[in-house]
Amino acid sequence: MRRSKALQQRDQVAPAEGSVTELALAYQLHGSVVDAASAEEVDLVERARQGDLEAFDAIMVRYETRLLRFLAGLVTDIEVARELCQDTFLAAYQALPRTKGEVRLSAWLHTIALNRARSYHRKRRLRSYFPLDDDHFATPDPDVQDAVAAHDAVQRTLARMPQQYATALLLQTASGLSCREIAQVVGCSESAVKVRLMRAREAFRRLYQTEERERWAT
Amino acid sequence: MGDLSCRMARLWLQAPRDLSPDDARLLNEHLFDCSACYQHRKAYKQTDRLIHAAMELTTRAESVRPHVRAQIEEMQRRRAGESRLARLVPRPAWIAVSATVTGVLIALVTAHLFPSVGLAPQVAASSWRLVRSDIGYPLTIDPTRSDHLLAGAGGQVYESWNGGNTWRRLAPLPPHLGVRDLAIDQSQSNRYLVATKHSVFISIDAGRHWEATVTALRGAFNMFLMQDPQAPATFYVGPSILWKSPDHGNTWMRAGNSSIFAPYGIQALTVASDGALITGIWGGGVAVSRDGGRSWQRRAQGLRRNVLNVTAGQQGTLWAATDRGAFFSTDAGMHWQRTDLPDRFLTTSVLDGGKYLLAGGNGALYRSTDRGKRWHLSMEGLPLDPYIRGLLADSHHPGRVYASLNTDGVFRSDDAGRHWHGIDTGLPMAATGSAGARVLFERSGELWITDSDGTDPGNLTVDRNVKTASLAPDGAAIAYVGAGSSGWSVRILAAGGSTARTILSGSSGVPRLLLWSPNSSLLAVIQPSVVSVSNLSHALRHWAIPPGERPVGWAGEGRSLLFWDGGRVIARTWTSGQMVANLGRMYPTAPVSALNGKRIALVSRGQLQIGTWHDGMRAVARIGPACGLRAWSDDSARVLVICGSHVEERSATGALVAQRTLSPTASWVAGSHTSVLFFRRDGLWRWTPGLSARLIVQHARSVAP
Repeated sequence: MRRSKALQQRDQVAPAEGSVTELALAYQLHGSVVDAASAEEVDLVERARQGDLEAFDAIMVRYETRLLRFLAGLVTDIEVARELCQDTFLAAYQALPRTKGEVRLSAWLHTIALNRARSYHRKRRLRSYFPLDDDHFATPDPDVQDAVAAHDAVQRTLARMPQQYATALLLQTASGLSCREIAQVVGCSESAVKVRLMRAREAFRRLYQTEERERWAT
Repeated sequence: MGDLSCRMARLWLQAPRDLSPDDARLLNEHLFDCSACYQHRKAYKQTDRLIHAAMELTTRAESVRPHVRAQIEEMQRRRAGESRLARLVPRPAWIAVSATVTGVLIALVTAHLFPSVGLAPQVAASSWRLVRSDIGYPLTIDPTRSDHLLAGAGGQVYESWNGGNTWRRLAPLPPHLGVRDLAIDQSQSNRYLVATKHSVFISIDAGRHWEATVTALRGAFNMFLMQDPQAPATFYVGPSILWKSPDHGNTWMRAGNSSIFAPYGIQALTVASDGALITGIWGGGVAVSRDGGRSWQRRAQGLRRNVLNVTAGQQGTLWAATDRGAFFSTDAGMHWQRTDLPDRFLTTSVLDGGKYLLAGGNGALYRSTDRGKRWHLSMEGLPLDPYIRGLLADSHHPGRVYASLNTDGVFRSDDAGRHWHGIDTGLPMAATGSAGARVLFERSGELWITDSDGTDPGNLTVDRNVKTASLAPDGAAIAYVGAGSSGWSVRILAAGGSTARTILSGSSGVPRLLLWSPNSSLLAVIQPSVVSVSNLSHALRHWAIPPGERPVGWAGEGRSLLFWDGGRVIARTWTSGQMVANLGRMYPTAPVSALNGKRIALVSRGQLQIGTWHDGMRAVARIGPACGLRAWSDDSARVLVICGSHVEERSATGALVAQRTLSPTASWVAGSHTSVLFFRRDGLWRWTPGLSARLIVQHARSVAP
């Protein structure tokens, strides 16, 4: 009883942290929300299979930002990420008529995107690439400059992490995939995904601190 | 701490949404009791926030949806076209006809373009191909007579009196000219003017006879010919150095002064409603002249893209077509804003019809009915993959618009650009006035430029004693080394001419090689022991070449230079020369990298080896011991091998595509970026087979079974 009261106080004090209680509530609602979204998605997939470009466009609207974030994290260069994102959608559009039954779009699209990114990495493996020398995000706005600096630090940290950790972490944080969906994309069990995520977060934290130290040292 | 271990709690924290309500509560209780796990949760959330915030920047990137949509629509059109064709003709017959037509087309094109080539270039027979000329179908509308048009095609001038429905050829111009632009004098309706690359021809009897009023215009590489509507006796040709005629084209003089007129060449000229001359600048911005071209002012605020064309629209709006979409200005070019055209769309022309806008360019035509806020593809009736050179509105017929395409002829729309149909009855479809290859050469110490036929050459001379020169991959600029007794200098010249700009100079160690980066933004000047990398205005970095290393070229990503040290190939960053990668393999001789940065070739022990940086080398052909590798073709598909007295062109599989014996009097004159051979025999300038690489695939709309 004492513990329960304290728990309530904690929830009141720190709602911004996104308490687990909130998440539990979301879980209770989760099923119906997902079902409604799924029904619409099934319809979109079915129409896109028939070649309906508007339906496919609606799919792109839903997933473009998530895919772009995911790919940008994987390949560092935003222009490359955009090209891979285009390739992903084109490949998906061509492959959709060949699919049968229910297609879990989120996991499916991210699987294609991941394969594209892996292919990209394979091709450039023998060469070293560098951050852009030009003013890729050049802007006079100091807030944006800070954001760009933080973005670069995060990108460098992700690039230094083992690929499988970075992939899992980006799929969850940048694309918002559930552990089950991540498991489908990377081809392992859900529990393995959780272990991977835990190690990824710890690795990220460690490497990011190193990155920040180096940045301030210079 | 309840029943939950710290390890399990931290695992659960990875996916709290997946927890059941009971597990969630258990986790929460554990976090309340275990400060270490609570700290971990805070750290995890901080990580998530960092990544999320970093990835937010990607939302600033332009959407890829329009590009994907455009590509899907193109796929659908192609499929529809194929199925229509397949329905028309039974499949075996269709295949036979297509193969025959392809063969005939290739033979015709090859015979026309490569008369000196012994063997026809190998072209896959599964698709129909035409040569994309540099400017295929320039078009002009008679300002005074309805339905009267002139078009250039195949180096000749064609006339139509019925809005393009049928065409007939006018009196022949000298062969092998490339018609760049035409005009009908609005004050003398039988006076026609034709601009070729470096000359101007005039007919005063409606095309029955032609006379060249000027040839080899120094510094000019004509792209446009324009009559000043407010002073009809005045004509302009350009770009770069603007030439002006005050007497209907009879005599020509330079309009600008000797200073740089437009740093990187301009593509077209327009007259604003207030009489100002406006042109685009390759490099960003527009140039405005209020004194008939004598002096120019640059305006570039908000317009940093390479501008191909500027047009004056309704209500004083100016439209700039750039290599990255279109921009507009409502204050006479002082400030520019971009439209919502796809950022990657190379726009060549914007037509402002008042209630509608059309934007044409490489691969597409877009239409807008809300002054450029939203654009939609409007390509019904146009061929696949069109390269739209220009759009013209017909003032005699509201809603009628003409589109001239580089390789597919002329199209007309009678409903303001919604639907299109070809108007090419009587026009030659293989409109190859020239193959479009631009090659530099030095003659009597002067720098010249010409095309694959060697006719109508232009004199780019601004310096004597040009030692070596190189054309930028995008064709927008030429770098050359001029050397005299007092020293040397590396200078940049707009492809069309203009005044050269010195970017580097010295007294010793004359540069022997100029290497353009793949995107043409940087130039590596290779001196005997020093590399200087420059942008197009000044030298940025200098660093020493390590002893024993030879330059190979730029890496495909454009950020490092490759060197061969006698065995390995090493990538060095262009900024400092620091080694950044060792490509891992051993190469017995210095490899030659293709322009795409992927394929490489080398000759070792009489064997031609071809491969990629990634996969290594493979011997593909045995060639003679006297053979040396000269260069890759522009499309990275073929290599040019020089074997003593003859030249061989070989495919990437080593197959001999073409060969030719060089005349004993042949001499290497100069190489452009394309490094083709150019020699003189029997009083004519001739080309080696390397030019067959200029073939660019294009769907042939007019060929029917």
